[in-house]
Amino acid sequence: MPHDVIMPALGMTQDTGLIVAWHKQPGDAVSVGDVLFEVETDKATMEVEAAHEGFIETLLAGEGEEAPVGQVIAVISQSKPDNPIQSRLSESDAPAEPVANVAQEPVTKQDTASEKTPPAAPPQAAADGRILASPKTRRLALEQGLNLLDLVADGVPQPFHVRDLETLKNRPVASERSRGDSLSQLTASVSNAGFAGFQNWLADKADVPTNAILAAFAAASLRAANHAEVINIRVDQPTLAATAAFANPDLNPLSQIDSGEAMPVSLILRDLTSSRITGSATGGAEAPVLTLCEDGDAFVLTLNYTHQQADDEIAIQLLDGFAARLDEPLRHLL
Amino acid sequence: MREITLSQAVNEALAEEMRRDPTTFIIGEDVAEAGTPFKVLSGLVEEFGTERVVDTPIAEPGFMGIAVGAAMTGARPIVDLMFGDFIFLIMDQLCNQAAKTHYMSGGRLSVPLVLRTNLGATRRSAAQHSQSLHALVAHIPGLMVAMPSSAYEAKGLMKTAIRENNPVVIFEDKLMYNDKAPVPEEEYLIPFGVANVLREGTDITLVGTSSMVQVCQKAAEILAAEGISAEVIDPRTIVPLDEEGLLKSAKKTSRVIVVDEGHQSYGVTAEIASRINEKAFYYLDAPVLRMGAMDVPIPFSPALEDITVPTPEGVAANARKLMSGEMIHAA
Repeated sequence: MPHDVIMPALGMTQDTGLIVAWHKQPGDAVSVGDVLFEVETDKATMEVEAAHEGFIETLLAGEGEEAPVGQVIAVISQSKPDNPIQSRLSESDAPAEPVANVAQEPVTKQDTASEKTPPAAPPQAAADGRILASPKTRRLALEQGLNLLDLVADGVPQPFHVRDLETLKNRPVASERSRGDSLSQLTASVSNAGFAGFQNWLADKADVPTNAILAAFAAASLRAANHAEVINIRVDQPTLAATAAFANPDLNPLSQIDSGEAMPVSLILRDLTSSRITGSATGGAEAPVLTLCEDGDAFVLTLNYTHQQADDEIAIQLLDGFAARLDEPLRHLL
Repeated sequence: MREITLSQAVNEALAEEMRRDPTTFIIGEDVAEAGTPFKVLSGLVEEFGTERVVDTPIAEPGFMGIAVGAAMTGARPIVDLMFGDFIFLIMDQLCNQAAKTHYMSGGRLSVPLVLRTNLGATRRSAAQHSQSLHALVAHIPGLMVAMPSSAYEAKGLMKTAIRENNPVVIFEDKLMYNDKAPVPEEEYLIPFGVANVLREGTDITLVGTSSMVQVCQKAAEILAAEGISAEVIDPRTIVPLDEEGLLKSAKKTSRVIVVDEGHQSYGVTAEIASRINEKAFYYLDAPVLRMGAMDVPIPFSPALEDITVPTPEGVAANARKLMSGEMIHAA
């Protein structure tokens, strides 16, 4: 994942920094702590070190250009770029979007005196990769569970002081998907012999399409897990370009399964057995997705669901039940 | 409350103690009729006579030795050393004899002696009459060192010193003899080892000794106008030192500057700063700064002399540096 290098916040009142020199060129390898560039401030020229390892993918500002604090001025990629780019701010058509960097906001804390002091020369960053911070800052960071490396990553000039911890606390946290949105996955595999035998046996008795059987098995398993009144199953067979929906297929006798239309789906069954795909992990649909693949003489079953859609317990029972029915189909009839 | 000069306060303290304890006597150069060149002792010889206010020749080691001997044998001498710079002349009597006799005699002998001398530059007295040498004696075990910063301290500390059974060196600031301060008429003593907080603050602690207390007060005014709240604290005695009081202040503000008129290097500021660094380390948001006189012989030229000692503007500038989190680099 590429990392943005931003123009760091250099002093309490400084809004831009003049890039005096780049120490790395596009394509160069970068280690943490390597000097990336030199930036001129009110008082002195400061060396800014890389906070990430990788390669210079892009330089977005040139020597002699002034960039606003927070603006992305370089990108470091994990792997050596094929097409490293050197551009200048003045060339870009649209201004680069400044990365939200709370470090440059005026810090408010109960001790207002620190806001009113005039800016002083920005301190030098440590040359050997150590983090410089006052003893009180370290102690408070430890006590409050704050990580000084976050301040380093934001480009806050060292040495760190207690007021920098306020910056750290106000830092926007990388948004995480809420637990309800994150996708969970269960897998199972069973021999396909049982189902093959069952299909042969059933073919003599009635003309029931496979997707109906699978829907019935799925519905039965789901009902055993969540005891719902209405269970609608949609069976997608992408390689056959076929999809069919079944309303309560497990409650209607096998030989009389109706296909419903436009109803809310409890479970999507994705049948890839007629394809060459042997495993799948896809989800992100409006209902849990149960994917059925075939790999040699085994069925590979994958259930993807979000916690909004199903509890872990229900998901486990569903998949286990469905796998069991595939394995020993005649038990389903009993 | 009435206001009197530091000179008058010292005079009162001596007179009151000499009335109270007949074993006390004053010895030194020009102490009797002249009342010392600073006129601090005026009137004492008239009240107590020449046996108790003793003029000597220009012989510092000699009269210091006399005083140490007298102290060992039942008297309570108050030795007047005209300029603090002359302390070099009496170092053996003071540091080898007075300081160690009680210890080396197994407690059999005591030296209840007070050495009254001065410090302070900017009087145009040149290098050999302007030094602040209290660090030298503070370093010697067995000696106590008091540094009054106003008339009030001068009287209270002097009385405590005279009643103390072990040697005490009191340094008065020769520039302050005419400075007035409120001094109670009633008797009072100031205990050794208790610092005085003159001004409460929250952003930075300014520790000052002697006349540097006034320098710190003025610096605090300058800083207050800029929104920086400085606490000003006077240790009053550097031996014994009120560590607890200083640490309490340091932990509250997390930034400290120690201001003293001794030379910058190897002085009292270094000791105080070290103790704060040691014992309040995890409370410090900035290094503890020391401000002393420049490491040069005090110049005779007025323009040069004035810049060799800490000033309120200098203290304020350093305070701003600490507030902004600037790194201190080697010179």
